[in-house]
Amino acid sequence: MKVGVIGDEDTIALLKLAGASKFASNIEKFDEMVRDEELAILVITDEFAEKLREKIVMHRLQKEFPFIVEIPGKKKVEKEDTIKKIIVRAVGVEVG
Amino acid sequence: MAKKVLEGVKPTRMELLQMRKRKALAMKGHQLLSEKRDALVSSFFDLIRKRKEKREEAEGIINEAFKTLARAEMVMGEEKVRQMADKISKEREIKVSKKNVMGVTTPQFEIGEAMPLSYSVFSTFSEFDESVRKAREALNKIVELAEAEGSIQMLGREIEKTKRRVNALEYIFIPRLVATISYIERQLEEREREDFFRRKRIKALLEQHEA
Repeated sequence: MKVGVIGDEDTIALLKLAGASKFASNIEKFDEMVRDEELAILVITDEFAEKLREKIVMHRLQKEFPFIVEIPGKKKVEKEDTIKKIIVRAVGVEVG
Repeated sequence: MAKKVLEGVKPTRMELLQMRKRKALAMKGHQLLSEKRDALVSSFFDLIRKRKEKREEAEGIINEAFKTLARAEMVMGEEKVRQMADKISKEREIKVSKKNVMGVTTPQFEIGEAMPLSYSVFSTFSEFDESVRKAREALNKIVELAEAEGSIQMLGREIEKTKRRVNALEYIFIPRLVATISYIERQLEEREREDFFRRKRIKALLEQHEA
């Protein structure tokens, strides 16, 4: 399977060099990307993930593939740690 | 919480036996599920620790990769770097397998080896090579991070589900069964008392009659 990327141009260039397969630089492509059965992992930069917050949370609660990873892009933004949210939901306290 | 009796239950001895059996089963289920929950939570904590490590590693390397990319862009020009990226990009296959953690399937990813670079050495700079290397390293780390976070996601979901089941048994189902059992017992006792009283009464009447 393959790696998909949603992010700014710099992140796309970087991961293109690294060997990722599918790229999108706007959040409208999200729905299409998560339905893509070829993708095992979908990398989203924090800046874009912030705008897709709800969709990402829903996807993580209901679906499996592609697994979403949020990474800091070139531009640093304040963001929520969504994995931490899953942890809090599961064990009721904040850990790690 | 109002103790509700299960609906449609007739106060008979048969029902009582059946309710007792159901209660025993529910208690056993509750115990098993809470053991499962505890086991899941303890492996969940291991994963959380692993994920934290991976995230720090990945973020560090991504940062470095951006810096080397910027350096390559400085010497070669952004345009040229992007062009080269398009030209030499070789898709890397991700091998997906599953690992079973306490009955929960968690994803395992393995990224294919990167192909040796297939461009001519003369058309690029060492900065570019460096940034390709860093970028690949970053992707390797991202894949590892995806594995850890994916496992947390799957396990977290299962823990939530198990927790909900344990709570439903503990706070709704078992109390309801207990209430039903005591309701049937009370009804049966009451009937017995009535019976007893009736017999006494008849006996007294009969004795009066004979006398």
